[in-house]
Amino acid sequence: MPKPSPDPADAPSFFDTRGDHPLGRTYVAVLLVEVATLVALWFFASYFTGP
Amino acid sequence: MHPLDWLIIAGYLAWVIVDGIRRSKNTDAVEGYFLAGRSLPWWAVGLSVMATQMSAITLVGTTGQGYDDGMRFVQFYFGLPLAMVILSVTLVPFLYRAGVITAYEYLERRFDAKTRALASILFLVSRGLAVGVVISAPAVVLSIVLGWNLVITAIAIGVPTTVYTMFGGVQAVTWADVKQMFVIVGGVFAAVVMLLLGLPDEVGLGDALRVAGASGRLTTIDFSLDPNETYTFWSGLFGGLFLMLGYFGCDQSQVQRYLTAKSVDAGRRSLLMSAFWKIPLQALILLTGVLVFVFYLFNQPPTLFNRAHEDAIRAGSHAGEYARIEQEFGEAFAARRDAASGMISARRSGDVSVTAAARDAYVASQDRLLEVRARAEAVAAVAVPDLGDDDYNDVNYVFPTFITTQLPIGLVGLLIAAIFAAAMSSIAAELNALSAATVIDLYRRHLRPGATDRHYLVMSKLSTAFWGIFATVFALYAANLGSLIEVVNQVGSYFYGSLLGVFGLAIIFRRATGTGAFWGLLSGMGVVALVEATTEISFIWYNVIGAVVVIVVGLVLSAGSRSAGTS
Repeated sequence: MPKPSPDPADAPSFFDTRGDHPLGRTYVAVLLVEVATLVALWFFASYFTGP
Repeated sequence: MHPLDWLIIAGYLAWVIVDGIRRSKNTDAVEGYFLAGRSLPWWAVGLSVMATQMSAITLVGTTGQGYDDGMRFVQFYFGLPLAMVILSVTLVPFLYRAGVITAYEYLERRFDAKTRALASILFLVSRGLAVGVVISAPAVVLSIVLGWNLVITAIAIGVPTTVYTMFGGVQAVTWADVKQMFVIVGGVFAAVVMLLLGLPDEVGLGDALRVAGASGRLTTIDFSLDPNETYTFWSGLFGGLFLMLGYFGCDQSQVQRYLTAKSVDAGRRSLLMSAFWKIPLQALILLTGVLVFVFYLFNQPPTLFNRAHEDAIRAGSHAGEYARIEQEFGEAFAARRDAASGMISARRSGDVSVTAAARDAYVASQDRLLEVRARAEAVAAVAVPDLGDDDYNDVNYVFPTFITTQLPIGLVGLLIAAIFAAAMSSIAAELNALSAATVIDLYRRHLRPGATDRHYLVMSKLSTAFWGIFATVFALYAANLGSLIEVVNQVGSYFYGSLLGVFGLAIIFRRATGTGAFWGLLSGMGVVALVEATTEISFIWYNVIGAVVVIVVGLVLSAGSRSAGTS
């Protein structure tokens, strides 16, 4: 006898932030650092690849 | 190699084993063995996450890619920081609070036993074979570059890793990873310094980079929309995002890393370390390969970097033809060296038209050298047995050849130890994860439920030993089967997107059922296999395709199974 699927309503919330230390600024910093890194890579390549 | 280099390598291997076992606290229970009692600091877990991802294939192959193709490969990682943020917000707290040891354990709680077993078996097959390749690739390269027997290099990589992983569990894996990351990064920085010192006196870093740029080696961003191109900005950002979500979110070897952290926040911070450092580190490794290219502009490289292939050609009927090609290669090298120096001098003169002409002459000399080398590759393709039908490729031998022929005594040992470290850090995490999936998902769940914790701990250690021996033996077999390695890599690319789709169904869609998830997972892998067989679409997009198919099929079948249940 196969085990029935659990009730989906029992599944915890997708965004579970109980007791979390807020990391919002860190997430923003990650994205800003990525943008800065990509821009730096682009400038680096353009500067040394150009005539 | 000098005895001091041998001593450094032997000392490194002994240090990793002894210190790995010494640090194996909290491993007298299954949860301690696999999760270190959820006690590890975020920075150690973060370094372990990075070390696990960086195999010897990455270190040796990426520098070779930088030499041969430039820095385009860095785009492959553009989706990683975003993936880390998404996982930190969603899957990390989700799995951590679920109190699971394996990620697939959660699938039974959410769906059913068959979905968990299928996901776990897919992981075991895919990663069990892949870990053999992770041993095989550096073992083959090191055996040729160092002149060791392949069995010895495979054992030198596989056995110490199995020993400290088996006895020390995840504690030993993590703390060994920390040390190995320092060895790897230290080795790369040392190589960069030596490469810069190895430039001719009249050639500065800016000059070197300009010559590399003229060869197309510094192109880092390509906005092409061609789905058949693997390394573009868009494939890296979107395809790479799904690949990294699948790898860091659903692959037990990575999930287990952040489940060992002492809190949810520590687990998140460990992933965010990669988000900050992965792209710069990867760019540095590629730049190292570019600098090796510049080094060989002014110092003659071997015609082919695979010494065993050169020896085989010279010993066979194509020796005369190859000798003529080598002579032409030497002349083409001298012409390119002079053209590169001419380009640097012309640029210093400040005359734009003279600089442009010198640059054109340099590019033409580079093309000429590549044309001669292509003829050498063609000779290798017919003269060397068992090469298979793939295009000739010796990029994996570029960096090890540079290390063993150009670096001073001591640094050779350090860099070879770094290659060992890169291999061992990935293998150890994989072995620990394979053991966890075997014992927790299959043995404890289906074969021997209800035994004591002590029994499962013993089985976990035996399972680690089994996977270590299997991987080392498979590595020897895989070394002679190029097409099998491709199959292993393809299975991995079928796997991540589809598994990500199942976890997406589990976490995002509350109405998804076990039947939908199970058949959705099989459908996702089937569609990816079909796409691979019938189109030229780059593998990086397979993860997007797999995830989307699993979710769509899973939701449709879930709706069907619910209405069948209600009617």
